[in-house]
Amino acid sequence: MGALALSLGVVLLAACGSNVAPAAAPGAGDGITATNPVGGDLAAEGQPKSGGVLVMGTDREAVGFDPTVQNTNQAAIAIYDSLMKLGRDGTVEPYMAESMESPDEGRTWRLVLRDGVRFSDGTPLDANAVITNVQRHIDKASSPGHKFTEPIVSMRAVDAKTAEFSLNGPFGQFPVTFAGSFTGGSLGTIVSPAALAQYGEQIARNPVGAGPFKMVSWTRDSRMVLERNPDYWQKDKGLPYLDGLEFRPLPDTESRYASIENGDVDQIFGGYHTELIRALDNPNLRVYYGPGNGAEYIYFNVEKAPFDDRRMREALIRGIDLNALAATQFRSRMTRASGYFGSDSPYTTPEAEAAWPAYDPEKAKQLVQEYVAGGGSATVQYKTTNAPNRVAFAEFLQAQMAAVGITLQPQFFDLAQYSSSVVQSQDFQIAGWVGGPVDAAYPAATNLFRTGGNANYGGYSNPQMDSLLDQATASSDQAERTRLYQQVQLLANQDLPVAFYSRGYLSTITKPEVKGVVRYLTRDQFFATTWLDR
Amino acid sequence: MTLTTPAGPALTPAGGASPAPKPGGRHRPALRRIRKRLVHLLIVLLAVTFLSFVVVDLLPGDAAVVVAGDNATPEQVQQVREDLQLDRPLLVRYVDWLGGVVTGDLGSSFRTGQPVAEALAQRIPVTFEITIVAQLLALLIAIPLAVYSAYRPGRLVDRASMTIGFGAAAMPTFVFGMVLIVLFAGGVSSILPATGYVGFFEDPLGNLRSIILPCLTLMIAEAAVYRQLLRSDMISTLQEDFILMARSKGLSARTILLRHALRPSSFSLITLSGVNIGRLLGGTVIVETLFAIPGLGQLIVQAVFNRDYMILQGALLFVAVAYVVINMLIDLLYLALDPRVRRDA
Repeated sequence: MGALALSLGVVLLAACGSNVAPAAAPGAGDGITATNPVGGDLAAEGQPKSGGVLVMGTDREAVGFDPTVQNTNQAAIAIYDSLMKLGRDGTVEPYMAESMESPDEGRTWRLVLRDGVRFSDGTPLDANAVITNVQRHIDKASSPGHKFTEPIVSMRAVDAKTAEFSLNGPFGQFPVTFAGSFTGGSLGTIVSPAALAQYGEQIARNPVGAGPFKMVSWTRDSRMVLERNPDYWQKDKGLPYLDGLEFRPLPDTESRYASIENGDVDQIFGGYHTELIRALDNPNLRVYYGPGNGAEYIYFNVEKAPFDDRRMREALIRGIDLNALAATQFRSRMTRASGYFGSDSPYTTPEAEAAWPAYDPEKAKQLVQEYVAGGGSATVQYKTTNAPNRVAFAEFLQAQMAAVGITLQPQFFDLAQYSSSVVQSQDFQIAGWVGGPVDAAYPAATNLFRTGGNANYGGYSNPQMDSLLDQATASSDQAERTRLYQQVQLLANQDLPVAFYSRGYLSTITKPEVKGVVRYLTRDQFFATTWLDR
Repeated sequence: MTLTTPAGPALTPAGGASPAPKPGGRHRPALRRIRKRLVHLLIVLLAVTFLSFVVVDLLPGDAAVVVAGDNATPEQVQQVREDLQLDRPLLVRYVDWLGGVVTGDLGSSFRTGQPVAEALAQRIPVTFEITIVAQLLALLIAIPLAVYSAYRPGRLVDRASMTIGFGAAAMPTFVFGMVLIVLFAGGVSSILPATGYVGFFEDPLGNLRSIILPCLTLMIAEAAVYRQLLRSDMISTLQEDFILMARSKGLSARTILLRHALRPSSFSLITLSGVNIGRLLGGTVIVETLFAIPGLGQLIVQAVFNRDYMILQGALLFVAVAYVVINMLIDLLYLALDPRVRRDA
């Protein structure tokens, strides 16, 4: 969900439209294609040079470095690295760990660590360090990683470099929980146990990890300075290339973009569509972007009238003219969504795409009339945040729905209120959602579609869906998992628990001399391989 | 906040019928004023902090949800609520906080765990710097223009400075800031940074470069208002008998304007400037967000959005103290500027 700066940034954009590059519109609603979604082609970028400090403008200040506290922190992976990592094709592979395998189809997992990996304070990264860290997620119910630990029955250090996890059932996706993004929660970001003992809760401000960089200083909302870790586990490969990193939170969208154009920073994280399209049109900038899965949609509260009735859900989806939406809200550059998984995902099938209701105002009108004739009311409240672009979207939706016979009354909330009093309390009929893309099907699809899932705010529940998701989570077989997620996509497109319309627009925007970018679709970047060609 | 502004008719020598000194007026007026202000300060502080505690508590949306994050389950939110002791009654929390303040403990941020005192110590000098620099710039521009405009009202300088001033003052701050960014930071030219505040003690020159655009943005509307205010006060002063007297003595226009007319015309300006400094200390959020300056305004607004009560309370406490202290200083400045106020006190 957006940051507090969202509103200000968008006001600025609206007020200063004149300096926004006009969108080249090759055809209303043309999507934005992926450009280096998970980083550049490292082999083609030439011989890496060592040295230099990369200055990165982020869209928000981090809360802290405690992996058991939910927050977005783009420096966390630079400090901690990750035991496992999502590869280019979305599968999980060992990174800081040597291997992670299950001898019994996912009931027991053995995480084998590399020899000689040490935290920057000299403490060895051994099996006990991993167990200490996982135990923190177990102990802290509010940790974003807590849910991943629920299947754990016991853990033990088989030897110094092997940690063994016994689970309460098969959990084929368990290694993914060691590869997650810092924001979404991960068991794979490991803090030095010595530092944990020394700092306790204050580890949030005094992180010690085994990643490519270590903390030098941090002045909140101004700058965070990191320097290279000379004892990095990949030092034999010359990593990290950079001498240091500097993170500057630049919460205003307009001045953040001005900062990369102006050369104040080497790289920014683009939190919004406006930055992405302007950077794509600027030949002096490089863009890393992938539309991914999920992203922007409207939640239906399927436990309340009128959207407990599938006809009304279908009517709303069929009533949205995506061409008009793209033209009015996305400067004609919207990557459309017709289902949870992206059109290039292996989990998307032609059958599922065909099941998604296309724009058809006549059909929508007819469905609404049918519903009203049955005694239902087609007057609904649409709740969303008060950011200017959300207000504009609500007005658009209101006009579209009026054309098909749904009277839509928008209600606006500030972000904190929206989180607590609307979505978390399930106090809505329909509610707007602007999430980022997701890196992997698990756990995101489970969070959204499973009964009781922590992002399933609309109360959707279908035992068949639960079973498909649980099987996919348990399965250790990629082919089987693909088949299951294909069915998830199809079923969701039939049940319509949410109205998808657009993918996300999170991007990384760099100067051309920034090379060796390796990133997740969502936002984390693995800075060890990043280098400056200057 | 009431200001005993000795502006208006009391200024004219003819109408200066001052009330008789109060009994017990042996104390020096400055000390008496300070004492009165301190009592005032205590009441203001109690009122401000209690009200903000109540208001923040009444805001829909709660800190625990923000801290727990978007994807937290209700159980996780409840856990956070208990950890933060938000489940206790409002009055208990307020008294607890007040007890902490008295012993010098402002508590820690809900979200980040950073001690509030530390956060304030980082932010206050930053905001103070841009506020003061912007005020000085505004006065530096406004005073000469106002004096000359009053001296030659309706002429080119007067009309041009009024038009430009009102044009600039009418433009919302962030639009003006954006215009400056386009002009100087990446659009038309690329001579100043758009973002990236540098502390003065780290790099004085870099600090100067990084505060130019924010200070210009803050300054422009103030300068326009100051010019207008001083100009009209000055025009009425110039119609006073003592100015006529000075003219008839053959004093130069320069002497009359600067030595005779400026001082008695500057009371409203000083009052407004003081009020503005107090206001800007907590109110530069737009400029701070636009130029990514780690100041107090940004801290306060983020604290509101995140329902970070501890940070908010500490920051409001500081702003209230600063407001009262600045007004006290302005009050004392009157004493220096106008001997009659000394008698009045």
